[in-house]
Amino acid sequence: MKKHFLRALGLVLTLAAGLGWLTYRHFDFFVPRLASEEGAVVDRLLRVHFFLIAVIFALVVGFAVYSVWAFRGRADDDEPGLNIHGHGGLEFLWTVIPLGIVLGLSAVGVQDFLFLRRSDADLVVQVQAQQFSWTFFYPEYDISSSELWLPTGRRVKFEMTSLDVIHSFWVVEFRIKEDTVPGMTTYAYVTPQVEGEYVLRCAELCGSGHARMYGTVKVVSPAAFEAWVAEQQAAQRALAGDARARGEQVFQQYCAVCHTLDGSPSIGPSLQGLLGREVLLEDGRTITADEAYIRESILDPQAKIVAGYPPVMPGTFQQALSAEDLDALVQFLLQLDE
Amino acid sequence: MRHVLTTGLVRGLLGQVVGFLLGVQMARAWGASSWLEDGPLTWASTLSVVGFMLASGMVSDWLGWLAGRFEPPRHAAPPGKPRWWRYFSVDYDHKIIGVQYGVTALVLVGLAGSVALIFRAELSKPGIDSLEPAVFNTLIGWHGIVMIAGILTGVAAMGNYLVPLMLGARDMAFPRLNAFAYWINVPGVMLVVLALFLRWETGWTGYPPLGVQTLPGAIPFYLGVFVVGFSSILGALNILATVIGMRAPGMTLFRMPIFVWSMVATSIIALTATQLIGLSFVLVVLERVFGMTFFSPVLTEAAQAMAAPPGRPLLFQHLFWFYSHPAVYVFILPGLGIISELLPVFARKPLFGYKWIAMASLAIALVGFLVWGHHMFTSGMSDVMRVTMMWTTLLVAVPTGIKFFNWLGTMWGGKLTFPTPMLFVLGALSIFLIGGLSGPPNGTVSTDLFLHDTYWIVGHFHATMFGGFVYPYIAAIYYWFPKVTGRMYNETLGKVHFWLMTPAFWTMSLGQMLAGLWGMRRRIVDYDPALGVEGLQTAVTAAAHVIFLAMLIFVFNLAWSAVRGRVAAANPWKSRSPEFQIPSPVPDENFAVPVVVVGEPYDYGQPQPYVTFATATAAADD
Repeated sequence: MKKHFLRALGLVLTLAAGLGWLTYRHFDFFVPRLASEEGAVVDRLLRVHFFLIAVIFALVVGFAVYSVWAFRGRADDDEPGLNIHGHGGLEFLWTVIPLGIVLGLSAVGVQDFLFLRRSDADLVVQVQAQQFSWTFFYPEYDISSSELWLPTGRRVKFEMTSLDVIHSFWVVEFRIKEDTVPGMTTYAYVTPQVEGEYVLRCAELCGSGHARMYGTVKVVSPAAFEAWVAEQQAAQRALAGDARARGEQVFQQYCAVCHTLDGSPSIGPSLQGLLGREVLLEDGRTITADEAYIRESILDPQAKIVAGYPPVMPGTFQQALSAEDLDALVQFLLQLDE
Repeated sequence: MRHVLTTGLVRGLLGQVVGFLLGVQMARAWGASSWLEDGPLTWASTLSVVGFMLASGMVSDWLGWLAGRFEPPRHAAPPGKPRWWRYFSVDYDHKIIGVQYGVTALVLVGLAGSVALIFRAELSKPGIDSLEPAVFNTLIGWHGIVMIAGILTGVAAMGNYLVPLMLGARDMAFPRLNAFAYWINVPGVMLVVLALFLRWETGWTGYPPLGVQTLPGAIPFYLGVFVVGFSSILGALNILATVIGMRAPGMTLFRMPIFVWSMVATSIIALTATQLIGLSFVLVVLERVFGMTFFSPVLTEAAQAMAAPPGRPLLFQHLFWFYSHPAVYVFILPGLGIISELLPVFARKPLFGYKWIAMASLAIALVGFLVWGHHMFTSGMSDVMRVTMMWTTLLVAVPTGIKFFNWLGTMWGGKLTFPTPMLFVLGALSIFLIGGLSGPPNGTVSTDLFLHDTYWIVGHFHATMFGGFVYPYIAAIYYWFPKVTGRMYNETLGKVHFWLMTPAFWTMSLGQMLAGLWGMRRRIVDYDPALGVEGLQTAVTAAAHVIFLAMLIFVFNLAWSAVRGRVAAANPWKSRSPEFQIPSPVPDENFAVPVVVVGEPYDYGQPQPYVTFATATAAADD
């Protein structure tokens, strides 16, 4: 039996070395590029987890595979195997050692978590999630934006909420994820470190538009960030006057995820040439699209459903759009060409 | 044909349809404009379940007692009915009920698996090709809940068929309750089928506020799950009563077959936790129908009229996961019990650490109640709760590890043979290993902030489900097939099943985990091509098709062999367990002569048997 044990152990160590090398040294194969300081903390522990997975897998599979190979019986053989019922010492060992490992992992996990969630921050960004788009407010600069611009090297505190259902804020390269919940403010902390363009993706099923609920994230140098802020402040003052451009911007922000402008159907009907169009509703009526219908469709979408489309348009635009934004949007839609 | 129409199943389904239509008519009489509104749909769904219950015969005996008529439970087909009729009607024999559960499980798993092939086709390439998002979201939710129903019925199949036999008992403690617990699944599942057609977009977890807002299919979904829950609760009660009160003479608790221990642990959970998912789902239905705001922060008119405070979405998640986490141990503890039960037989040596394995099952059940918050690590739950739940979650790894090491001890120094049941046991071991090992990164809060709601999680739970339920269930079916049918399955086809399914499953598992690590979220109809996961998704889709094919071969093997298989010996595996000491198929009364326990269950190779049949002499020797 001792010979068997040593041979099995040899198999385990070979497997462990191979799998351990694969997971620890080639960790970068398994994860996308890293772009935040908090993400580095996540990756460090994840790498340890993968190494442990590799080693424990090798341990169990090594002994199992060795047994399958070395301890074969024959179907006609009536000889039993070793008559052992258990071993108190082994039970103790393989209870206490795993207990030690999980307690150790928990201790490191607590430390990492507290570090990730410490409340100091250099910049506050308020995030508003809704079906199916994101809006960002920078209270320090009094600007709002549909794109998330961030400077490198500053710890950002995201104060987040949702207007309708639960969404979740997640940029893969930042690693950190946190749900946005209606009626609550939730928090995430990220210190971006690598300049570039990233994609924010909603990570909690929120309806028909969930898969494509994306936001654009731009991480730039602190100087470029200041320049962008100034540009936004100026642009938002100017936009207050230009209703048409404002309307198009609102359309892109809130409507484009489900409605196209080129005639092609999407989750919702295309809005090309909407004014004056004969619209067939699911209850069989046909109505002519006028301004009243367009307004009603935005503020109370369940009132009339277009035939052939699911009744999934969110009812939150009444809350999300200011009176000026709504007027601008309606004006924009009224003059879309055939 | 005449006989088909009189079966409990057909009568019950007709009763369900009649009940539903009656409900719709009543709602119309009360002024509802469409049956697709939440109120009418709720009323019609409820009446449909009552209709099924009355028409199927599942409450007939009890209604008879109310009317002063008592009939002893029938132990054969009614006069004039063929034997097969018993399997499609209300029958009180635990072996018939076990087969009913078992076939239902295969049907549900087959349906849910077929639906998976539909959305897997959509996912093999980026872009939205054939499934509109609302349909996709419905299909993945349906896949999840129907698989869960399939697993619960599979667990009940194993428990109900095996526990009385393993204890040397004549039947379960409450045979009529047993039949009720099986049949209540049918109207519940039919409501979930209705939800498929009416559609709902929350996935199987049903989170509000989306659950309140989404399409009408949410109503039959929530109500269907509520109804199916009764099967778990009542079945568990029956198992515990049977184990407590009906063990053969000499069968102390530590001389029970180990599978019974796993069913005890499972039943403790199912009996006490299932109520929480029923509660949370009913509350969402009340939100939809009456405008109550338990979970919705925006006050409805009704809530304002009641001066209710704003609701909290996280409350739902706490209530829901308080059941749904322990539920996963309901799914896997029986399967792990099957592994423990079969390894000694195919190693011809005792189960290593029997008492430790038994206690570990209870420990998993207990600690499993304390970890639900790990499903909520990104939910906005307080940091204190997140840290606490991380400690408890990682603790569950310890009793699970104890089982694995004792299984290794059972194999070590054995005389191993590898017929199909043993292949599936070993497959289960390796797959549950990777599933379980992929757990700690999710149980640690910091790493879970990355992994939550990605395909890594999908990979984790498919591996734990296949390793903890699917493979052991298949092993159990092959192993007890000769006992149930009296015929042997085809061994070659069994090996083909295993060797097709296992590499495919590993491909699927590793593919899902890697796709998640590379940034693919779960529950999405379309993924960003920039993530680079298209190759992985195509591989996962191909693997799913191979798994499906392997399962078709399995079902063909079972159907063919049940009719044309070689007649089997009473004890083809030379097991010491009580059920293998009596003829195959098992006689109606189970043990014509009662069994007495005189030795240890797993002392293979030792002269002292585990059970003997009671004789006058043996009784005098006591």
